[in-house]
Amino acid sequence: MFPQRKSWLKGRVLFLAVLAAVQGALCPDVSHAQSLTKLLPANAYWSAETSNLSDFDSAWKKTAGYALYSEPAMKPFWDDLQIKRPGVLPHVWLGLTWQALLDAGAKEVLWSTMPSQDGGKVATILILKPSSGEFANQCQTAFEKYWKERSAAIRSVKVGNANVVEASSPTRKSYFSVAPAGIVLCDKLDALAELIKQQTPQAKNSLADSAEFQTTQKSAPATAQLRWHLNPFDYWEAIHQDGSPQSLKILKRIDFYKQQGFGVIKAMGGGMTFGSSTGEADHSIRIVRAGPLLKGSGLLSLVTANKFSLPDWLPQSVSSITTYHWDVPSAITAYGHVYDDSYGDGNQGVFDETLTDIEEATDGPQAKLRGDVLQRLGPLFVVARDWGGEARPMTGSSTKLKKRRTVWIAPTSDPAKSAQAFEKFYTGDPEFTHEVLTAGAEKVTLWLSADPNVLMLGEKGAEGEERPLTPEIAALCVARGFVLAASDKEYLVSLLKGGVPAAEKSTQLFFSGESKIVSCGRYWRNTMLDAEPVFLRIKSSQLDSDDSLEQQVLYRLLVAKRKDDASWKPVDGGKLPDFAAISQYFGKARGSIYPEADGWSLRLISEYPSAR
Amino acid sequence: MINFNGDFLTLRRMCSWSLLLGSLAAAWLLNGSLLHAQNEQNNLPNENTLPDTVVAEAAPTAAELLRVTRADWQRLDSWLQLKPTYYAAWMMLLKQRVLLEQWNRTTGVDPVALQDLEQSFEKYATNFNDSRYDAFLASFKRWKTMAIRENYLQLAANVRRQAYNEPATSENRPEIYRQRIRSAVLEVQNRLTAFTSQGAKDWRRFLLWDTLQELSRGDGPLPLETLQHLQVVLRNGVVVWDIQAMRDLQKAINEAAIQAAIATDEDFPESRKVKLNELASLIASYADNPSNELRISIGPPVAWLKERGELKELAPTILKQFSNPNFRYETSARVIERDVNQNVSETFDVNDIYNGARVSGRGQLVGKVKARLIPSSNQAIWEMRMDGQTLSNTQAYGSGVSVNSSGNTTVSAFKNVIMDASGMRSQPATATANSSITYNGINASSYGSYAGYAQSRVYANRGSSEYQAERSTENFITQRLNLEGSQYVRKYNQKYQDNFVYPRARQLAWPQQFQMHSSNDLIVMDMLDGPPESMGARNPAPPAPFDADAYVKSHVSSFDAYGWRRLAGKTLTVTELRQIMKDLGMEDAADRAEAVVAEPGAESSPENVEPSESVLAQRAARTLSFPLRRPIEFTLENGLLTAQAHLAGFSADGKDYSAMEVKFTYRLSGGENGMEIIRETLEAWPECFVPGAGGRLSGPQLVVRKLLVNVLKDALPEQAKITHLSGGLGDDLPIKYYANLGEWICIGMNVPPAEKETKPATKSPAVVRRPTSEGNE
Repeated sequence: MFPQRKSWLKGRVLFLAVLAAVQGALCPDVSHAQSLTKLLPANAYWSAETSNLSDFDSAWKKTAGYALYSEPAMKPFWDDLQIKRPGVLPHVWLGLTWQALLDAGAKEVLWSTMPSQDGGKVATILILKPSSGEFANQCQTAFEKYWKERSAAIRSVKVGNANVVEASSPTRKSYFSVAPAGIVLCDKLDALAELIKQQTPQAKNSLADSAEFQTTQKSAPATAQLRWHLNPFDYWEAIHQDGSPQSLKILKRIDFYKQQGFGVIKAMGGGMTFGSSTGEADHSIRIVRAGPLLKGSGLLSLVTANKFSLPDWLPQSVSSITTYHWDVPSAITAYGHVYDDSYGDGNQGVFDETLTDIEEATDGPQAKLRGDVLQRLGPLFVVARDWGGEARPMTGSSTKLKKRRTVWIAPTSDPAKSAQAFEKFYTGDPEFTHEVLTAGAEKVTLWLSADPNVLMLGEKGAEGEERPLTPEIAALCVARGFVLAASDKEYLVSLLKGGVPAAEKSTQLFFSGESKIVSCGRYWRNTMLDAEPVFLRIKSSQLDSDDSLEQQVLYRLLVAKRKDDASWKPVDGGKLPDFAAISQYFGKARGSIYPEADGWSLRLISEYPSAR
Repeated sequence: MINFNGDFLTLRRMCSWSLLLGSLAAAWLLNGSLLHAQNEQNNLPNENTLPDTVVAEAAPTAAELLRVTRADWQRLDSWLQLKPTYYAAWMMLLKQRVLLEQWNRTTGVDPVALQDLEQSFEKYATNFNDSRYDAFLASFKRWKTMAIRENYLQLAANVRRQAYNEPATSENRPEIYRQRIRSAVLEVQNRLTAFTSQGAKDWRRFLLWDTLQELSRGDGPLPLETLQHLQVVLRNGVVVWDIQAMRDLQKAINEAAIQAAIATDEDFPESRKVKLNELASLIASYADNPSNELRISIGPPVAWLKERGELKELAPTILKQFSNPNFRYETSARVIERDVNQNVSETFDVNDIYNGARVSGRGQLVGKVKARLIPSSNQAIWEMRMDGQTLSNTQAYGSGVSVNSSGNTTVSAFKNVIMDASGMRSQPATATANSSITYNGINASSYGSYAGYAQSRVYANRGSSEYQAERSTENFITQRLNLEGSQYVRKYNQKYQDNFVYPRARQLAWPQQFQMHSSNDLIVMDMLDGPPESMGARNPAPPAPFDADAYVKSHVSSFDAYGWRRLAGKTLTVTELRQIMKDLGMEDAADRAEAVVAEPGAESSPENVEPSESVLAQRAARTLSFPLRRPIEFTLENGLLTAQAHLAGFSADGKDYSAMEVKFTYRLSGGENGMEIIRETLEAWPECFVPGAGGRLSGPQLVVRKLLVNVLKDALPEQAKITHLSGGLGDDLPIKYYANLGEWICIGMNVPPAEKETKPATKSPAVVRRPTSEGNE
């Protein structure tokens, strides 16, 4: 009855990972030698570093991503983006352009954020390892030139014993500090003071010294050009500390996750290598878990397997597939905790009572949800997505956009009993309708709700809010030995009524070469299919915060106003070329998740478009 | 001037009034809205008192009534001498000119005009013990029945006649009304800016200023719902700021609201006609078959017509005759008596030069101050009376003559104090004094042989001296009473405004009908609360089954009204619902435990743990939405209060759920020193589901029901004890008694005596000057 939390949670984790990765990718790369994270306090929210900026620059320039960046047709859009989003690149935000860094001969570079009490709650940081005596002078000259061009006032200020250059424009400030260990640029004075203190010999508790940091970096290959590290909950909290009602809601939500045990996830990080065998990014991620999974975090209990065969009737038109083996009994118990705390005011047992009422109450449906549905599900779960749905244009534009559709699929050990339980569960409720379809030789009852929130106890996130706790399901049925739930009725009907594609095609397409590998989850995405709908949304200025990871990132980048950015203006999607002109730059991606003693490892691989 | 050490009307007694006010305010909170009222309606005939068919017999006339009383006047007079307290009541009967005029002019009589006439007549029956009087009573009853019926039929005919007149409204042109609103808004702003420094700093928020501004600046049709909301706001605004600008703004909004309401009807002239005829038929039916159902059904058409500016003259009459108060607050006369009554015994010094003679000596004032309620049907009146006597011994010396004299002045002073919805005011005091002067010795030896002449001159002027002494004493006593009275009134009104009027008005809770009146024994505040269509209680407030200083009587319909005011059309968080329950005094054990923990030094236990952040967040994130009309309905039977709430929807943790019906019951009982409330049942079901009819809920419905019940359990305390009538508005009064009286609940409280001020052990040595005529000319 309450499945698919895993998908959402995984999405959350992946989102943070991708957010970090995308930010890293947008600000060129790294590798490691003497880690600059020694100069960061342990409470830094996020960091990305490269040990050799020019190597990173070279590797990045060989990728399809850079080709897209260099594509002449894209130039108007990038120009618009850089004019309207000076904060997209942290170093530019602070006053050093990418080219200025290269020209100065920067080698080791670190981008980061950390707590601040000055204005916003997050300070943006750039740390450079001096590569020569002239390096600092060159950087300072570039820094001052950058700000003078923007009519900022330049002056010298004292922070502790250090002399610091302050650039002050009407919208923001930036500070430039030189010390033997590293040159520090920062936009918040109190954070800068911390960083200067961190450079003293007696400084302790650097980020580099933390166990979580060391664990996440272990998984990064030695060739990684970019290494990153993230304190997920602190970072998440920090970026919402603006005191707005919306932020307060999200902060409460974060609190709730922590109470549910998700706070046990202490860090994530890893490294990216560009131009490897696939020619694109090869991303190794390590998630560090501090202790056993408790309460709601038990939803993350995955089990390892090497069998990930997909339902043979799944079409090839999906844009992404996620498969995982889920510990269903643990998940039910874990969801019970979430339910009790969320809907039962923390009174333990409300979830069980509710299930018991559903099964036994004399005026209830007497549907055996536990025995006939939940305990018969899995352990393999499949989440398939496509962009087949039609959405109404959100503005006056006549462009018809496609809508993302999702279907959740899990085998059941007794389809007849599961179907009967659903029938009892929904019968007599005016908010639901049902249709009987013939799918092959099978008669299938499709349970439908006009409101996708109603079929399950889902919740719809308001604009800018975190995404739903449970997925939106508009249609549900038992067919072909599986329980299927879909966000869109037509999608489900098309799956049931469509022809049966060759099973081997699907399987081979999705996970070729990995069938023997033991893992607990796999992910595959046809980037080409996924990119075009999102691209069209940006182009028609109709992008919203959908539930795809990239779309959320893009939404924040292009549409959602950054709290402390007074110069915010919407990016003009109309400057994008036709998708056909740039479609050759989009490849595919795949990934797997593996259990570790104290967390999980993920490997995400982007394929070069020619491998498509 | 006389300085009475220990004033006889101590302002400290205001404390008692503030207690009453506090409890009054709290009582209002308890019941929700209370309101206005017309106790006269208690005499409305109902199905039990009116025969199905009225037999038309020759009715007694006013002249006959007078003849009966005049014929027996001598006996009546002597009897009244024995029962002087009834005298005023009796005289009032005979002074009801409105009654007598109607009586002689027409067969139809407004039942309001009859007041308590029949009961009053009956009260004297045993005392008269005269068959003629009995015959009169029987005749009067028949006449009253017939006259009231005739009154209703006339009223129905008047309403029906309206249907053939043109609508009272003019053309609907929003721009004109918007312009008027704009001008009025500016004027109010100009006027109220001055109030800011006087403590009305929140007037902008109170008046929904932003909404008003937006309304006055917009264009297109005026939104009815906003206008109606503003109507309520301004009705209360006028209570708080009774200035012309506010009344003009109220008028502008009212006119606009009328037009906007009319605009909602496609064919207003026709629907108006239908509604007027429907109302006329209901009133006519009631004339022949009076019943509560019919009476209550008169409310909606009246409200509909009033909303559209119709029945401007008739509506008040109809409401007066058909509505019943649903909340009553009674204060026993003894509360005032205890506050005011006291013996006066003061000494005073006399040391003055008067008419060229130095006068010195001492005097003593002995007397009593008493309060007495005066029966009145439109306001509460009590009389402050002082009866006293001054005795003085003085010596005057002047022009070679010295006079030792004793003065004896008796004085009676009266001052009436009037209370109504606008507060308290007093009438000028009157006093009557009677002086007698005795000369104990006149020494005029310095005049030698003319001493006798000198003495005779002193004696010759005694009458004049006594006259002057009387007037002076009267002046003094009236000045004193007026001074004390004005201070008393000012302080009372301050409390009344602060603790009753303003809070109510700010919460948009000022009663629609509100009347005070007094009998020999009680000061009564009657109110009727509820939506415009509400006709109040089904039956008059029953007498209390216990003896207390003050009573709060609340009809179950006042609970509806409270629910309507606090819930109608609103979406409230669980936190806000809990606050509403707290406002009602219903704080459950868990809440009290939270409060205990919040106190320093309190021990923590599993039972008294502060709610966690997440629980508080959940309460703030869960909301219940209520429909605009009839959001909640209560019934009360044998102490079981049943509430049925019609939820328009609810939301929990970001998810919206569809409409549900909720039913919960509370057992109300009187416990030791308080009122105990125990929740017995709590059920919820989807809108179209009939509980107990064999149907079954679907799984999602059941899940939602469980979730909703859980949310409601958090909002509605399981068990509560109300020990005081409180609301944070004034002083609390402990509840002493409680009784369920059918559809009414009755709470009794004893008002603690005001703390007596201790008199100073020694008198003030102040030299006083007394306006006396004693002395030589």
